[in-house]
Amino acid sequence: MSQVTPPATVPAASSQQPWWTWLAAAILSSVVVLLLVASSYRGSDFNLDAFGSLPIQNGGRVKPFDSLARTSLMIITTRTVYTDERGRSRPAIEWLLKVMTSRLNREKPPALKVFRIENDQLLANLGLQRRSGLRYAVEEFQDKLGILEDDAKRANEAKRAGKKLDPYQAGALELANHLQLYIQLATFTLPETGMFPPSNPENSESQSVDKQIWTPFLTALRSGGEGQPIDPALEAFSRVLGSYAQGKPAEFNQAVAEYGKLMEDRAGRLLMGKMRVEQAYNFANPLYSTLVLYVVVLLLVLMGWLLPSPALRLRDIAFSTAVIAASLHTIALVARMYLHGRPPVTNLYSSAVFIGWGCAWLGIFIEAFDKRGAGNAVAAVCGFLSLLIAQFLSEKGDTLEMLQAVLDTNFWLATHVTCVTLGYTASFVAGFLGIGYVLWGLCTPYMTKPAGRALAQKVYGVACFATLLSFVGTVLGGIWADQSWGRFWGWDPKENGALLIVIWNALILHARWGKMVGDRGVAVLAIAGNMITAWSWFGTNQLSVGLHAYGFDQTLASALRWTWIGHLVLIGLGTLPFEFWWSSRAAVASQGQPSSPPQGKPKLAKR
Amino acid sequence: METSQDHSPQVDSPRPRGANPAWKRLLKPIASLRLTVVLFSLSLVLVFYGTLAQKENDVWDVVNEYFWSWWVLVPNKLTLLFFQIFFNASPEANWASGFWFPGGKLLFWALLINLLSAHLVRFSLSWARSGILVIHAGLLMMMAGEFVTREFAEENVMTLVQGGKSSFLESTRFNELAFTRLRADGQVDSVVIPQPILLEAAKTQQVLADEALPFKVNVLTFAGNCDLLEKFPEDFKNPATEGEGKALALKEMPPVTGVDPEQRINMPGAYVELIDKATDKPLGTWLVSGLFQLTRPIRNQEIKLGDGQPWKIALRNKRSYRPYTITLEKFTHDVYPGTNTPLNFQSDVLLQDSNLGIDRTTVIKMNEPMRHAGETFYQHQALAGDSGSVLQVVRNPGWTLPYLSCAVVSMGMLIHFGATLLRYMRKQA
Repeated sequence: MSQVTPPATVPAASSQQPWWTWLAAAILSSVVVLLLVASSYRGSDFNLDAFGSLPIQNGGRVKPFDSLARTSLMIITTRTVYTDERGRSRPAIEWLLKVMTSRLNREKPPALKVFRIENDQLLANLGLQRRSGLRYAVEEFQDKLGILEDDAKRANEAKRAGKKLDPYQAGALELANHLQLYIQLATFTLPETGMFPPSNPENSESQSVDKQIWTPFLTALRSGGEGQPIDPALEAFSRVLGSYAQGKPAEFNQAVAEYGKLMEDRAGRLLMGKMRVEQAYNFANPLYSTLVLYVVVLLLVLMGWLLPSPALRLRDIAFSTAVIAASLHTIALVARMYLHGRPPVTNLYSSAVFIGWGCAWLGIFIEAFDKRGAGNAVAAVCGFLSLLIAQFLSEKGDTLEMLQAVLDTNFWLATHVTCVTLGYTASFVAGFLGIGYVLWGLCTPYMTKPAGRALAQKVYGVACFATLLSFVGTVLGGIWADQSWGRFWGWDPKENGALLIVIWNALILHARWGKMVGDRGVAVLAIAGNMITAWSWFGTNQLSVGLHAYGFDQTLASALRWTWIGHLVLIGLGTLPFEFWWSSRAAVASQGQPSSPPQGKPKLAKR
Repeated sequence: METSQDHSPQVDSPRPRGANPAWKRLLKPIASLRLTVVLFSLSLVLVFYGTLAQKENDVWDVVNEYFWSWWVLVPNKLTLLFFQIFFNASPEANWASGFWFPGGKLLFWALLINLLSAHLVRFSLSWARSGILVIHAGLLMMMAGEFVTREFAEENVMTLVQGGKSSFLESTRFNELAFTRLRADGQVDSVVIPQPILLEAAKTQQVLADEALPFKVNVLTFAGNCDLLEKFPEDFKNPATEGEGKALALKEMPPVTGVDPEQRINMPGAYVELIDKATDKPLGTWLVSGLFQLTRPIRNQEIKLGDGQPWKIALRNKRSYRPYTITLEKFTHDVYPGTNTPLNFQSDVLLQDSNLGIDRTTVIKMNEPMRHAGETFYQHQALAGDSGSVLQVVRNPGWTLPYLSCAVVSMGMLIHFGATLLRYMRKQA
C-alpha cells in the first residue's frame, strides 16, 4: 500500500476531527436504524414472537420457525412481509401459521395474495389482470392450474435437456415450484424437515440433539395412529395449531409456551438460546440497516463535495457514519458466523456480504490516510452495491444453508475462500477508485495534478494489495484441491477466473513499472479489473460447468451484461483526450497557457 | 518491476550507453516490460477462451488444446457462445471458422525468456530488488511443479466394495480390451490390448493377433464414449452375434464436457470380431463396453472354444498392479440430519505391504488423504447404495513444489510490497 500526505495546495479536511462529528454521526445512524427496526414491528394478540423462536429441523440444520417462514415467503413473494386481506402489512411468521392451519379451518380461509407473477403472457394464460405489486392468491387462478402444470412440466423437460428457457417457460416453472413449496408447507410434507427432537436420545453423550434426525410431523401423527403412545410434543403442537385456527389468542399463547418448554427439555437451553439469537437477527435485519446507512454516507459525501463549507464538517460526519455502518456490518457478519459455526464465506450470498464488508473497511482505511472523501465514497458505493446483490441472492432460499461434503472444512474456508474473496474486494476497491478518478477529472474542474496523482497512487497501492491477496488465495485453493483430490491445478472455470484476476493485477503493476501507463492509465486499467472480477465472481457460474458452479441465472446474466457495458462506457470516457477533461481545461484556463495535462503524459493512447 | 526505482517513474536511473556490453543490447528488446504486458494480455485471452471451451469439450481435451500446445485454433463459436449467454445473441446464429492464437506452451516459454533476460539485463543485487527476485524464483518453481505434474503424474482410481480388497489401480481416462482365462492351477492368463492400438486398428481395419490367444481380433468399430440402447433404432443392423450385444445397440456419444458437474467419465464401447486362428473362420462378433463394468458380474461375456476353460472378453479401464493390498473395512457416508446432503464420506482401510512390512489401518476421508509408496489416496466417490468406495490414487513426484512455491512467492510479495510501503512512510516522515 502506498499512501502520501496530500500537498498543501489540495483542499483536504484538517487532520483533527472534532468530537461532535462523531456524536452527530451516532445520532444520525441511531435514528436511521431505530426507524428501520421499529417500522418492522407488528403487534398481534397472538404471541407470534414466541412461536417464531420455536425450533424446526429443515435443510440439515435446526432453525427457528421464523427463519423458515421468512425464507419461504421470500422465495414466493420476494419480501419477508405480506399484505393480508385487510391490506395491512403482516410478518412472515403469521403467513406461515395461516398456511399451516389452512386445512383446519371449517370456513374458507381468506385468500392470501402472495404469489408474485411477473410474466405478462403467464398472467394472461392464468386469466389474471396485471396489478401493482404483481402478487396473486392461488384462489384467483385455481381453475387454470392444469395449464400451469402442463407448461411447467414442459419447461422442466426443456431445462433438463440443457435448453435455455424463454421468460414464459421460466416464469411458469418458477410459479409451479412456488406453489409446490406452498402446498408442502400446508400439508407438512416439506422435504428434509423434522419437527420433534427425540425425547430420550439414546446416544445423547456422543451426538448433540441438532445432529440427530428429528421426527417429521406426519410420521409422528401416523405412529400415533398405529397404537404407539402419542408423542406429547405432537399433542402440544396440535393445540398450538388448533387454537390459532379457532382464533383464540390466550389458548394459543399458552400452548406455545407449553410446547416451548417441551422443546427446551429435549433440545437444551443452548439450542433454544441460539434460536432466539437467530430470530432477533432476522427481526433486526442489521444488513438492511447497514445498506441504508451506506446510502446515507454516500449522500453526506456528495453534499460535502457540493457544499464545500468547512464549518459543516460533512466529510467528517460521513467518515464517522461510515465507521458506524461498517461496524454494524461487522456485527452482522460475526452474528452470522456464530449462527452458522463457519468462517464468513460459504456461498455466493455470504461472499457478497463479505466483499461489501472488506470494501467498506478498506475505503475507511484509505479515508483515514487521505481525508478527501474518496475513501468514504468507495466504502459507501461498494458496501451498498454488494449488500444490494446480497439482498437479491437471499431470494433464493436459506442463506445459512449446509455445505457440500468437500466444503466441510473450516480450515480451507477460513484461508483459501477468505483470501480469494479479499482479493476480489481489493480489486473492486481499486476499480471503484479508478472510476472516481475518471469521473472526478472528467466531470469536475477540481482534480488538480497533485490530487489526481495522490488518487492514482491509491489505485496502484490497492492493486498491489489485490495482487498479493488474489495470488495467495488462488494458490491456497490449488493446495486445497491437492489435498482433496490430488490435483493442484485443474483449469476449472472458477480457478481460471481467479487466475485472470491475478494476471490482470500483475499486468497493471508491470504496465506502470514499465511506464507504459501513467496515473490515468492505472485508473482505467483498474476499471477494467472490475469487469474481470465480475466475470470471475458471477460469470463463470453461468457456464454451468465445473466444481464451483451453481447454475445459470437469467437475472444475474443480464446484471453482468449491464455491468460490463457500463464499465466499457467508463473506460471509453477515461480514454478521451485530455481536451475533454474538465479538470484539465480548468488547469489550462487558470494558468492562461497550455500546460501539460494534470496526470502526466497520456501514454495510454499508445497501447 | 525491473526498474530499481519502480515507484518514482519520473526518475530515470542513469545508465551510460557505452557501458552496456553487446549481449545486453541484444537482449534488451526481449527483456522489455512492454513485451511482458503484451504476453500477459495474450494469456488473459487464452485463459478466457480456454474457460469458454469447457462448455462443450472435455476438460482434458481443452487443457491439451489450449494450455499445453504451441498454437490453438479458437473457434468463433466460442465468442458467439459468450454473447448467447450474456448478451442474448440468437441461439440459432452460427459463426463458422476461427482464429489462430498462441497456446499455453508458447506463451509460457515467451514469458520465461522475457523474465530471464530481464533479470540478466537489469541484474543487480539490492534490497529493493530482492523481493522481485524471490517472487520470480517462486513462480518458476510453480511452473516447474506444473511441468513435473504434467509429465510424471498418474491419476488412477481404486474401487473397493465393503469388506473387499484390491491390489490394482484403474485408469479413468484409458481403457484396454482384456481377454482373461482361469487356468486349472488357479492362475489367470490375461492378454490386454491398450486403447491406442484399438483405435488404430479400428481406423485401419487391421486384424490383431497375439501368441497367447487362440484367435485373432478384428476391431470393427470403436467409440470413445457411448451409450447402450435396449431398444434398437430403426434401420439398425446389429453387428453383434454373440453375448450381451445381441440385445443391445451401441450408440456413439459426444465426449463428456468440461469438469462435468456430475463428474461423469467417458464410457467407451466397441464391436469386436474374433477369428479362429486355426480355421480362419469368424467365431462371432461381441459388443464390449466400459458400461458393463458397472454391472459386473451380470455382464460376463465368454468365448467358448472346443476344450478347456472359456476366455472372457471385456473392455475395461486400464489396470496397473501394485505390490500392496488395500482392504476396505468400513465405508461411511454421513448426511446432514434429515437430508440427503452428504456431510462426510469416509473409508476405513487396511493397508498391507509385505515388501515394506506394513500392516496398518487408516482412515481416508474428504480433505484427509493417505500417502503411501509415493502415491496419495483420496476419498473420491461412493459406489451405488454405499456398497463400496472409490479412491482416487495419484502419483505426483512434484506434489511438494506448489506448497514451497506458494510460500516463496508470498514471502517475496511481502518483502517487495512491504519495502515499498516502508519507503513511502520514510518519504512522508
